[in-house]
Amino acid sequence: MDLINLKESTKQHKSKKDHGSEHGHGHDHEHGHGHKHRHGLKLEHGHKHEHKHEHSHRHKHGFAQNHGRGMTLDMLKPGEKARIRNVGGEKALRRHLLDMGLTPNTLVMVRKVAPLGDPIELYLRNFELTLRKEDARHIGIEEVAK
Amino acid sequence: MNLSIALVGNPNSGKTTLFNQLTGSNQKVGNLPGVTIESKEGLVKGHKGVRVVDLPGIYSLAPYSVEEVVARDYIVKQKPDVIVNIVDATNIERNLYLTLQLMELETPMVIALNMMDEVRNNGVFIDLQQLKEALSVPVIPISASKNEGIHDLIHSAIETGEKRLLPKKIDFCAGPVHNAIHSISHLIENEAKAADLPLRYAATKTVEGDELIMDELKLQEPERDIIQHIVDDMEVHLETDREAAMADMRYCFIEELTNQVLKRIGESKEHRRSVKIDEILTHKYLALPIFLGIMLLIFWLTFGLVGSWLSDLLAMGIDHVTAITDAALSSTNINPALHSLIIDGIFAGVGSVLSFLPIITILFFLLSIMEDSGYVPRVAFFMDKLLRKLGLSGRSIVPLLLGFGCSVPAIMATRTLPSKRDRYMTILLVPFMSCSAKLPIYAMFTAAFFEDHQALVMFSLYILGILVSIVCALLLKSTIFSGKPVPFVMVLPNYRMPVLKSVWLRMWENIVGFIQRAFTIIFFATIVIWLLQSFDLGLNMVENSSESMLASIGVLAVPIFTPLGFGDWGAATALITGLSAKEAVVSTFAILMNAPDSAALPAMMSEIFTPLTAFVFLVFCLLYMPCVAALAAVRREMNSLWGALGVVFFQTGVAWIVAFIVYNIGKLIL
Repeated sequence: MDLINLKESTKQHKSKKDHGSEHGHGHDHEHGHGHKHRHGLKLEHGHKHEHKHEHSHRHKHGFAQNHGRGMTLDMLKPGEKARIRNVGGEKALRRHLLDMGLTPNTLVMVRKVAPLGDPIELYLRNFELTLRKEDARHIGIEEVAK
Repeated sequence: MNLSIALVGNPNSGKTTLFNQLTGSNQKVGNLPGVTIESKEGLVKGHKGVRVVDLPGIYSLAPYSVEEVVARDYIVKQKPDVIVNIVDATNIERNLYLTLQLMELETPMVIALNMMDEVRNNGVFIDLQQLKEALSVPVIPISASKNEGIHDLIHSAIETGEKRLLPKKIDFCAGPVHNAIHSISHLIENEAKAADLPLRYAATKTVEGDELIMDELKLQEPERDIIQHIVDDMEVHLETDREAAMADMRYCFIEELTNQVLKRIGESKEHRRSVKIDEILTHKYLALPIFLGIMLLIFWLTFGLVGSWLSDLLAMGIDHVTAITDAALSSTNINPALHSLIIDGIFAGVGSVLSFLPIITILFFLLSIMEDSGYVPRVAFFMDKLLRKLGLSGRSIVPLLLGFGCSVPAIMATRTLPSKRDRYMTILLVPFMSCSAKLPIYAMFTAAFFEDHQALVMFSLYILGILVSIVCALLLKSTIFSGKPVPFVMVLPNYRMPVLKSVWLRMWENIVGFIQRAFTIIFFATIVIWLLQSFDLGLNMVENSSESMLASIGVLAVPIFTPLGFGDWGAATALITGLSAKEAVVSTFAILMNAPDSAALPAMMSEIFTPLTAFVFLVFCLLYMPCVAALAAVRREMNSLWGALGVVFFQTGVAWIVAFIVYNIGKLIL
């Protein structure tokens, strides 16, 4: 695995902020409405996030959700690279993933799958990170050319 | 001079090594204010009055992890004079992510850029001057493991702390995030002052939606609304949410910065080497056999080759000292009760426990090497799936395996588990792993009753222990520990040569802890057992322990064991003395039966036991409450006496039920 390649391709794609395209319904932000903005699909971590301000209009994590469409990180095979589109999951886990550098547009490679099939080992930002498949399912990706 | 340094950095960044270099053995373990998270504090060598606190290893200052909250609260509330932020230069991107957050705490700060030897060896160039200017924080290149640059680091830290040189506010973000931080800063200025929080920190955490900080700021409804508007605006503009936006901004800034200051030639040697080693050690088919091989080697070295030899040597030494003391006491014509207390109570009790010391020393030495080398996270990685089925995570495997050696170090090793739930559950299961102190019991009974099938009976006991722990894990998982298992997000650090000094210090810490226990709780327990064994209910000293209080208690306990088939006061008494150390079961039988020598004992045993009840007795021995040394370790690691008592009732209850089942099934079959 060549570090420089990974690094450079991260840079190339940096300018291209395209992760909103799949989540277009996040844009119809209705000001002045008394109700919360909801997607047709169930939010997986949104409910914990709604604090006391029930009345305020908002659109929680609409962009950060994986809507069940497209590829997710658990689908990658060892040696395959992908670029992160969005990170979902339960609040604390999601924040931890972001803190570890799994931010949108970051390039990741699946280094290997554990002998018993789970968890997986990722390579990103010059270090290795392990993640269970069930948690990797919350990370939306798009494959990059091999 | 009076100066306090807080040492902060990522796990595996060499923080502990640096701390050891700074303080030498001049350190003590303590709990951080208000929580049970352990931290170490020490005095810096050669600089009088300079204290350094080693805060937990963290990746961020998020509100969801106890360690991270503890670390940030420590800095904001205890106000150390200077932060030394240790940054792993071989992993600079991820490490600087924490640095950017620490810089918001309005505390003087120095960056210790660690592992510079590796960086240099790999032909990587880091422009320190530019890094320092970009961050407006002193950057000192060091190599903690090689003790390089430590002197410069201390001087820079002292100077920065004394002059209170604060990091400048750097604009790591632009556009909507910048605007949001800016507007919210103005809005919460007074609240931040009132709550005694650094303004910049309060503002960025509010943008992130950090409830802990927002509560601390005591924001009123209208302000919360305005903040919500600002954040909503930002989210719309960026097409992402507040937490992702902040994380993204920080990483973007870091990427740009590292592109400027870092000239890389390629992947580092150490990293390439790690990947190579992992091709074997976490190989699809080889991973498990290699791990088992390593564990067997550790056991063989600890309990077989070196350990038992050293233990015997120490036991001989203790016997020798005991004999000398005994003779000296006899010649002084001392009160026989006091004589017996010293020799039969204290020397015998504490001595038998102290003879474990070599085993514990060697075990911890080998485990420290395993831990410092970076292998443990790999084991957790490939064992995770198996252990998750039991409601545990991969990291529990090491304590559980250690349990086969001795529960005391095994329970102590649960300290490395990240979640309280996993820690408690592992502690509850460890004693079911048949510890080596139970071997003498198995040996005596199998010799007496199962001469032809000795190995088979012993093996079946080990397997039974594992099966019972699996059943208990499944039960615990669906009852009191029904919470979700913690996510398994773990960095696999590069393999490194362990630093001898760190290994030695960690070993030393454990030895001291063990000796302290030996002379406090175990000391006390042996005196109690001696008292019970040497006196009758009228407090007269007895010649024969069958007349002692202990025997009376044993008689009282008989009804408990009658349903298990060994309702004999001697067996009950042996089990009670087994609490001081499991081997004591054997010695108690020897004393109670007045066996002329150990060879005669097996024959005399058949008066009390049938083969079936003997096996049931062994099952009970295998599973019932751990010895006082292990209980002391439980109390310490759970930080609760109730926790330790819980273990007592849980283990003993399970032991009784399983023994009852085995007895009744046995009666049906035989």
